Amino acid sequence: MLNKLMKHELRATSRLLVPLYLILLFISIINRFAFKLYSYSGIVGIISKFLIVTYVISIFVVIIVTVLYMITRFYKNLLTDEGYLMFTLPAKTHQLITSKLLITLLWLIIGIIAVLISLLIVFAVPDTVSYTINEIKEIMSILSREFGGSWVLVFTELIFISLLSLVGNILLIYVSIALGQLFSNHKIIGSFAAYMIIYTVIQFLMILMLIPFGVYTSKNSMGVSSLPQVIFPAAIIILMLGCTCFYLATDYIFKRKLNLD
Amino acid sequence: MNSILQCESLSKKFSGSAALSNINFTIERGRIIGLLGPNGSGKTTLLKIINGLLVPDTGKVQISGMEPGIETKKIVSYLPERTYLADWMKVSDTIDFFKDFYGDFDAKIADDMLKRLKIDPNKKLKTLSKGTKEKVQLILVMSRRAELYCLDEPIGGVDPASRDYIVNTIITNYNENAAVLISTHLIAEIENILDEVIILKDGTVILHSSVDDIRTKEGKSIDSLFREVFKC
Repeated sequence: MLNKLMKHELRATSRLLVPLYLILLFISIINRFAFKLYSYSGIVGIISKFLIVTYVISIFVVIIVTVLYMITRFYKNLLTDEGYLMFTLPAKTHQLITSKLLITLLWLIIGIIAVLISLLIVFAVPDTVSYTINEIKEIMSILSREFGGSWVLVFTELIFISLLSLVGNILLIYVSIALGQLFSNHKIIGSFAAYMIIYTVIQFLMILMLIPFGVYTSKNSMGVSSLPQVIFPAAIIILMLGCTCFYLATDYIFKRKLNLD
Repeated sequence: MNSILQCESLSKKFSGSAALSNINFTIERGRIIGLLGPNGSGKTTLLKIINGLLVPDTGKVQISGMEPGIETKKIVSYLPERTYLADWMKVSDTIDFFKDFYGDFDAKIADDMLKRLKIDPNKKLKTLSKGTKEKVQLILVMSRRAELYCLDEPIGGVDPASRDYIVNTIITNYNENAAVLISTHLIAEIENILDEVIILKDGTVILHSSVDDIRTKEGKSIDSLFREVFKC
């Protein structure tokens, strides 16, 4: 069932997102040439500078549109009239949430890859490519110098942390939307309010947690090696806890307190 | 196990006011039941509870012996009063969607009905009129070989010529193992196909009886009975 839900979610969302990424790549190709004219003076230079600015904006637009579109899709598909269909499918509510979450993640990753490819298209010449490769090698060697043999661990942990924060942020929006729909009127304002409140509470809790940590570290010096051993695992556990709470809360609200107009 | 739907002391409140209070009834398989009542009498709320879109405050619903959930959704075909299909979809996309999710969906029936009502499956829903969209939804819902059909105002926005065809589809498409629960204001239009009626008023069942009984006892049609009961 999850597969079917994901298939249809992908079909519905690729309508807009695939053309979006293709347009980005197309703009990139144009800009590869515009970039070469950058140093020209006069009208050619102005046009090329204008194109470069448009290009930089379009990179941000691609990622922002992906996020906004997937959030709107979640709301529209589940909590407006379309919800009457989605919630009467023979699927569990957690499958509905998971399918949306995974496809959102997938598009974000594809979006980021599209941006990277686009940067390559615009800026890649043999020099920059070898420069980038050298930089990456340099970072790797710094990592292994600082963390000894555990740099693979650091790397994996960082990837986990990035993915979990991404998932956590998406789920925070889901639970806010779920809470917002509990209001009979002003569902969208309710969602924003819920987001703000949860966000503030989390910030507050984080500060509370940092105080004992600060006291501890001021008394005992902690080397950089404590990052992969203590701090990153702690961050992963906290993020996982947060994700689980948001996910279960969204599921509970949809199961017991659904309030379609 | 002949009853398909059982409601036991169902109650549901919305912000303090009762939408349904203490609803009790049982529906047998093989029957077509009219769920009648003025606006705001609780018809839609009841159908939403049966379909798991709302959880009752007290009491329980059983469909073929099961509480609303994934198993009941497999055997209940629900037509809400909303346009629940995304408008960027083609008619044929919606058929694929139903085929994918409902094991009891018969695409051949759907294709036949589309042809009969002259609806082009390659058209996007966006380009169809409101009435045509409603027809598409009804076709999808009736093309399932479900055990319980819940139709909320199925003919409200459809022209009288198509109404006859749709009403006919409803009677020909269900089998004796299934029951059809139709909520509507247009009583006269469907009176002839109803076996039973359930009349709701302010969230309570004020009458549940077979149509024949009403006709012989009261000597009048359901339509005129309804107009009498709810006279303003």
